[in-house]
Amino acid sequence: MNIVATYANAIHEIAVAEKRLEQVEDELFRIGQAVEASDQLRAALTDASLPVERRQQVIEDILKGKASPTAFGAVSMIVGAGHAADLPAIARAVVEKGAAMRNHAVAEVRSAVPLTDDQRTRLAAALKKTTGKDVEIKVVIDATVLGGIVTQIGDTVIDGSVRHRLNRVRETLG
Amino acid sequence: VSVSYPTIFVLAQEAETEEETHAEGDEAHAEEGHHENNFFYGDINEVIWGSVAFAIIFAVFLWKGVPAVKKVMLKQQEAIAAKIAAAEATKAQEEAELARLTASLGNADEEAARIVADARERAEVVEADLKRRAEVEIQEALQRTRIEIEASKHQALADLREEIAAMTVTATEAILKDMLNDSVRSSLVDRYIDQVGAAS
Repeated sequence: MNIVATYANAIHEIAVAEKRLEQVEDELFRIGQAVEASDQLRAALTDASLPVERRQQVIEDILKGKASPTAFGAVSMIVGAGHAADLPAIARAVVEKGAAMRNHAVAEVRSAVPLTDDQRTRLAAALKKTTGKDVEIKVVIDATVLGGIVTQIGDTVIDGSVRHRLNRVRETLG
Repeated sequence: VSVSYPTIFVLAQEAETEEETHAEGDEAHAEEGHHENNFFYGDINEVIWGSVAFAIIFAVFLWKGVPAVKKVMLKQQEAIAAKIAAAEATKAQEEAELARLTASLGNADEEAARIVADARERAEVVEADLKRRAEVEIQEALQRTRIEIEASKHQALADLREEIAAMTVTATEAILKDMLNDSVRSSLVDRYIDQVGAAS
C-alpha cells in the first residue's frame, strides 16, 4: 500500500468514527484543489528548506476556524510528514473511498462559476442517466474554462466548456 | 688421297721431262758411242727402268689416284651443293619470316586501328551514359527542389493558418471574457446540464 492510500485510509477511518465523513471529504477536496491550483502555496508547503513548524503554521493560518478539526489535523499531519505534494491525491482518494462506500461515483466538475444547488442536483441526475451510477458532484472553480463545464468521472471526460470550443475552433482554422 | 690434282700433274710433268732428258741423253750417248762421262747421256738401263717405273707409277696413279681424286672432288661438289641448298633453304626461310613479319606488322596496324576504334566506341558509350546519368541526377535534383519548395510553401501556409487561428482564438477569448458575466456563465452551465441529460 502506498503513501497516498495509507493516509487516505487513515483519514477516512477517523472521519467515519467522528461521523464527519462527507464534511471532511469536501474540505480535503477543496484544500487539495487549492494546493494544486496555487504554485505559491504548493511551493511553500513542499519547501524542505523551511522548518516543518513553519509549513504547518501556513496551514494553520489558512484553515484555522475554516475547516473541521479533523480536516485541519489531517492536513497538518501530512505537511508535517513532508508529503504536502501528495495532498491533492490523498484528498481525491479520501473522496473516492467515501463515495465508493456509499456506492456512488465522484464527478469532478470544473466551472468558471459556482454551481447552484439546483444545478448540482440536475447535473447529478443527468450524469446518473449517462453513467447509470449515483454521482457525487465535486466542483472546482477554474477560470480557464471561461464558461460551461468540464466533468470528469473516472477516466471519462465530458467537456462542454467554452475553452474546449475555442480549442476546436483553433484546430479547425489551423 | 690427299694429294691434289694439280700437284700430281706437276709431278707427272717433271717425271716426263726427266724421262725425256734421260732419253735424249741416251740417244746422244748412243750417237757418241761410248761417251760414258757425258753429262747428258746416262746409262740406258737407267732410262728404261726409270720409264718403266714411271709408267707403273702413272698407271697406279690412274688406277687408284684419279678415282680417289674424282671421288673427293665429287664429295666436295656435293658438299658445296648441299651448302648452297642449305643456304637457299635458309634464305627461303628468312624470306618467309620476313614475309610473316611484314604480314604481322600489317596485322598489328589493323589491330591497333581496331583497338582505337573500339576505344572510341567505348568512350562514346561511356560519354553517353555519363550524360544520361547527369540528366537523371539533374531531373532528380529538380524534383527534390520542387518537393522542398512545395513542402516549404505548405509549411508556411500551415504556420500562417496556425498564427491566424491563434490570433483569432485570442481575440475571441478576449471578447468572450468581456461578454461572459456570471449570468451568461450560469446559462452555459444550464445548457450543459440539459445537453448531458438529453444525450443519455
